[in-house]
Amino acid sequence: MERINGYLAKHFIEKLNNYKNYNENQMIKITYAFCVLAGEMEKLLLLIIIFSIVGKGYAFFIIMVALFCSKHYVGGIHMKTVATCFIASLIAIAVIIFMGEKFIFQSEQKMFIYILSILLMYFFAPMYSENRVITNRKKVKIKGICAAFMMGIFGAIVGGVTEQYIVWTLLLINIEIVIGSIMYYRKERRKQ
Amino acid sequence: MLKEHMIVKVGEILEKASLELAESTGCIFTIWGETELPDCIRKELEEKNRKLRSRTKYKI
Repeated sequence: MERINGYLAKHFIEKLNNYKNYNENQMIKITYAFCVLAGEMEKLLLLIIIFSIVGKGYAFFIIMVALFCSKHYVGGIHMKTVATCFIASLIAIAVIIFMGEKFIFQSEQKMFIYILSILLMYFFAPMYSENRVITNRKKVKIKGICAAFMMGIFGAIVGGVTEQYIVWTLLLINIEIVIGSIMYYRKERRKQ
Repeated sequence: MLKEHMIVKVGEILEKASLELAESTGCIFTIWGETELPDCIRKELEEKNRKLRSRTKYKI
């Protein structure tokens, strides 16, 4: 997938150079942005098609919004290629849909998960990644906490299976934060 | 002429977007992936970080 996107990016830049001269750094930036956006569109389209075919379009939409509001700010575990990212996303969303419909959280459990999400965001967001450079960590952390809080409010208002999807998504993110932090600290200790 | 203008505009948008994307691990919707960060973008963002930190220090 990366090769196809890289080829398309190269082709786009050749066309671009016909109209305007770019230096090497600018071309690298454009290639990077092109490949990222192309990869994202490809994965998103495939996921939409798959979950629509199995009749879980609404659940997919709610979970994607919940993920965008939480993991987008926190970070966590990441796959290295477009294909592995797609497979991980597919499995994670399928698990959340399954769990959200089969295992229902009670009010106290939901409250615990919401509070835990906010606390973990406060202490760990945004998590370190070698492929991510954040210029304002505090801003990302505040955005993440606000987003998690708003999701909790939205879930409480809507209720039903929608809220269960949101709670299971947050639980998955919480587990990921814990595992991701352990992996990061182990890696740092090995370096020392 | 319009095609040329559109292509150049898209190029400019992609160039500016690259820094924003780098701040989100190069992943927007499907959230378990990341794209390897080119060195030139990393250096530019680290330089931006360094300048922000030194400005904050002087404000205090």
